[in-house]
Amino acid sequence: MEERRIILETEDIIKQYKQYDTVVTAVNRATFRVFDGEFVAIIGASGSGKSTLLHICAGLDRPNHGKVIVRGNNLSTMSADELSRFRGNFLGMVFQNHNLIPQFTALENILVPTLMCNKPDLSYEQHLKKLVTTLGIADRLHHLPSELSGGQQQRVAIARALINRPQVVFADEPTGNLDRKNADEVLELLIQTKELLGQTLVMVTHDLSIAERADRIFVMENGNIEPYRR
Amino acid sequence: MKLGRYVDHKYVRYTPVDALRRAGRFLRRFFAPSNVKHAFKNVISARREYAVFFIALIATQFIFWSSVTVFDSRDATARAEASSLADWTFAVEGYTQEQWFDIYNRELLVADAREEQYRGYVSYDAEAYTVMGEKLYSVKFTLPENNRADCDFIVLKYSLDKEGTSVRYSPAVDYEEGRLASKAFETVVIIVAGAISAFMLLALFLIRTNHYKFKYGVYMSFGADFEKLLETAGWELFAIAVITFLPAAILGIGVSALTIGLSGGAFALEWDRIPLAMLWTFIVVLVAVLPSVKILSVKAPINLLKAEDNSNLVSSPRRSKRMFGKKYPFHYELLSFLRFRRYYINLLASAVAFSTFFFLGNFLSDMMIKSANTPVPAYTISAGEGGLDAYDIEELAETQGIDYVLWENSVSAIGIGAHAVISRNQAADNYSNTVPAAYDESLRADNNFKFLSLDEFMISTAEKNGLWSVEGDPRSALNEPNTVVVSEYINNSRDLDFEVGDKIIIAVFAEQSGSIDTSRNDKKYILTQQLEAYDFAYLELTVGAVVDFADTDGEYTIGMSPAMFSDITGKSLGVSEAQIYLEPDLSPAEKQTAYAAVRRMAAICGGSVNDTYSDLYKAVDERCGYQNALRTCAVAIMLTAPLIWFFSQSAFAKKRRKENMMLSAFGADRAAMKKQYLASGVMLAIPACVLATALSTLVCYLVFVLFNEKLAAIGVISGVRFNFAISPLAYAVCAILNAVCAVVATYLPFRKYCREVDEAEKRSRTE
Ligand SMILES: Nc1ncnc2c1ncn2[C@@H]1O[C@H](COP(=O)(O)OP(=O)(O)OP(=O)(O)O)[C@@H](O)[C@H]1O
Ligand SMILES: [Mg+2]
Repeated sequence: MEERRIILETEDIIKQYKQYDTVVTAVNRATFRVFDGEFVAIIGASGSGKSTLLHICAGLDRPNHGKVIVRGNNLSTMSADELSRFRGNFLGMVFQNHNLIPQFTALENILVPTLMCNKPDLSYEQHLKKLVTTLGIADRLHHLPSELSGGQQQRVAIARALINRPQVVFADEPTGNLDRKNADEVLELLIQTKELLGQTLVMVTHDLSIAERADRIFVMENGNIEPYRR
Repeated sequence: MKLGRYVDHKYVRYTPVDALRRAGRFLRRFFAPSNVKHAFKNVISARREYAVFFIALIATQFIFWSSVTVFDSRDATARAEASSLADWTFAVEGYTQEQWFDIYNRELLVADAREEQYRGYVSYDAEAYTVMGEKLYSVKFTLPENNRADCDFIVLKYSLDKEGTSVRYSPAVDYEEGRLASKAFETVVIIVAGAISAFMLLALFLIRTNHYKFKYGVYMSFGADFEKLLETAGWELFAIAVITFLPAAILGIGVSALTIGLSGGAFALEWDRIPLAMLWTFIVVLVAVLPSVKILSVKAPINLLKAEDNSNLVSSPRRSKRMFGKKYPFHYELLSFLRFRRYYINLLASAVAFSTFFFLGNFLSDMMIKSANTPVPAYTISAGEGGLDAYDIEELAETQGIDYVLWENSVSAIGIGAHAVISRNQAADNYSNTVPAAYDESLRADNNFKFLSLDEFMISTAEKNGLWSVEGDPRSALNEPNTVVVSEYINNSRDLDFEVGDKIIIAVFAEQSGSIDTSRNDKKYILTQQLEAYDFAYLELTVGAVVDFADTDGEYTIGMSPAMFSDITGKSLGVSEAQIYLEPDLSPAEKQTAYAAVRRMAAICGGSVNDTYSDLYKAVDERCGYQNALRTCAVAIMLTAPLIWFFSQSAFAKKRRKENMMLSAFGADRAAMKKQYLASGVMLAIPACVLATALSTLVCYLVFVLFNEKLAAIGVISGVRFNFAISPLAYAVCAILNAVCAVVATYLPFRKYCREVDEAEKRSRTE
């Protein structure tokens, strides 16, 4: 196999939630690596810690123990501020529950990342047009999230994650609320942009037929991550 | 502080130049026209949401403007008053004819021929008066400026200071002398007002950022760092500050000008207050915004995103079990209190804090009035070697225009190696100056007092003018053998506890039998040394009266007949200082007569007169007192307490909307929900009232102790004994305001919710 650059690497990640005397171990010694330009799918039962792991990899949360290295940068040694800028410059995130700002219209929500980082203009207009038409939300841009269906909200969230052309895209069940046809279209878009921009895509999904499209599949079980054996 | 920043995982240290450049870049970005425009548009279009900040910023800037208006007007009033009191700059008094002619012929005649700028004075005017048959001169000089250094220069230049003369400065010079101290005071006030204002805005801004946690969490997920958050969150407040700048200035200046005008002061305001106001407001807003944004920016974004569902709300799984079998709405809401305890504690704390500021402002204002109403001597005479005797003083006191004269002939116990032997329960628990007595080990020795010579005239002066509060008969010290009067206060705190009829023993130095270490200046240490090295003669005395002399001295007093006084202290009966109090509302001519008498007396005893210009400062206080400004500021702060209640509770109500909908979806009717929210309001009102009154009382008490005892001990406040009393009106206002706010602020958002639900229903029906 030719030498490939590692873009994301985790080592022994542990994330626990304590509440009084019960301890929930959401992620338990997760170690895995993702190569540059790869499409990796993570599958696993509900509650197995997929979302938690993804948040940690995307620098949105800090693990209790372990190391996350993205683009050669150790996230745990970064300050909160540096981490924020790092996310803005290199990472994109599709949240499982969308996390759209309720007071903003779809378009405003999509544009949030462009306002938040100080990257020079990347000809958003064109990119935006292509994103929203492919995602089929072009006629819904001026609606508030509460006026959109679950699937539409999800597609707005995807557009928001891609608008900045991040180097690594983390997607937490981006097709969870979509029907077969729409899900395939969205997946197609994600893979297309990935190919076009040389992105890396880390996707959590329940859908094995979607996971099958990935270069590699990991499976999570009780907070542990393992390569999936087909 | 580390100056630097992580760039691509490497920590890059800045030089100060880099830091400045970065700050410059940030400011340029921050003040970019697009940002400014956006912020203004934002706050104006969402003005209802920002209403609370509009009002709060008006209130804070109101405080600033009314303070500086009072400062400047006070300054102008004092200058005007001072120059109306005297048309000269300084005077030299007590020249003999020979001395005066000498100066006039040798110095002034020559100087008069020169131009004003070379001779240094504008004019002078000699006035003759007679003391005991001798003709003396007082010469008043007028200088171009009211400046003490100039006066002293002229005195030196023309050798005006001669044996037996004294220099007297005009009220204007005296005022300018004290200007530096009052400038320092003004600075302190402006800083304290800034701190209170920043605290108020911070409390409100924290409520806001907390409310918008989710939004900021999303921003941070997509790259917003501290600076970016500051740009988005901070600008809004700056925009509001700019918008409110003018109205607040007009309001603050207007209200102060009105109160000053009504009490007869002169209104004035310096132009340099405008840039100062801008700077002050900028700093206040920055101080309010920075911590709130910093708190956000260091959090992991996922926590902010998740917090939306249970923002600030803590639920405790153990307690939740108690929900079984409980009734809606009362028990339910009680549990809600438990669930939302963190929020409620924050709310109560900030609302109560503002009631406390209100209270404190009022209390301080009362203290100022008390302090302004405490009589101040118009003149003091520092006697020469022989001192003043009782006849002199009686003669002075009977002069026209003089109300009464106070004097004191006293000696500190420590100065003559004496001490008192008192019982343990005659000293307060926290009084620590005593050591075991040599006389009797079970008793305490104490040297923190002074011996005072009392006489009939002194007692009757005090009686006539209501100066002392007395228990027992003070004349017993004069009429009965071995009887004394005692006081109980040291630095305004009641450190001793005597009863009429108590026995105390005075130990008077008899002879020295050992050596003494004089290197330390600590009373207790000296006493311990003396007890070992000295022999004492003991006098057993009876307390004939306990007198509060209403002084603020650092020693208590043991008063006795003149005979006993000179026996014990070995000191003659001459008085070294007398304080002259004038009758109120004297005409200038009457005042001049009184002054002439005082001056004469000073000449007789070879001493000098010090003019305290008490009526100048009294007039300034009356026309341009701080207390009115303080009271309006207190009210301005008090009015922001409802802001906190309403702002916070309506933001909170939005979080509970879903809960309401669920409750009604599962069968709660309107009446029950109404009860739920009313109950919630009442449950908040009770602790709010209790906390507000308790905290206010506590803080006022601490401030009282600070002013009355601590500041008196270091001599900042002298001659005023405050008492700890809070007006029932302030209590009532504070309690009622908090209670009403708690109930109404809880209930109104619920009403609003109901209205919105009804409207939505109506709309869906008509569609
Ligand atoms: N803030 C939290 N406090 C306590 N426990 C948590 C918290 N967040 C997650 N958990 C727990 O951590 C475990 C993993 O959660 P996570 O959301 O990662 O699961 P998941 O694999 O994404 O599940 P799903 O497929 O349902 O989205 C779960 O048991 C969950 O209850
Ligand atoms: Mg999940």
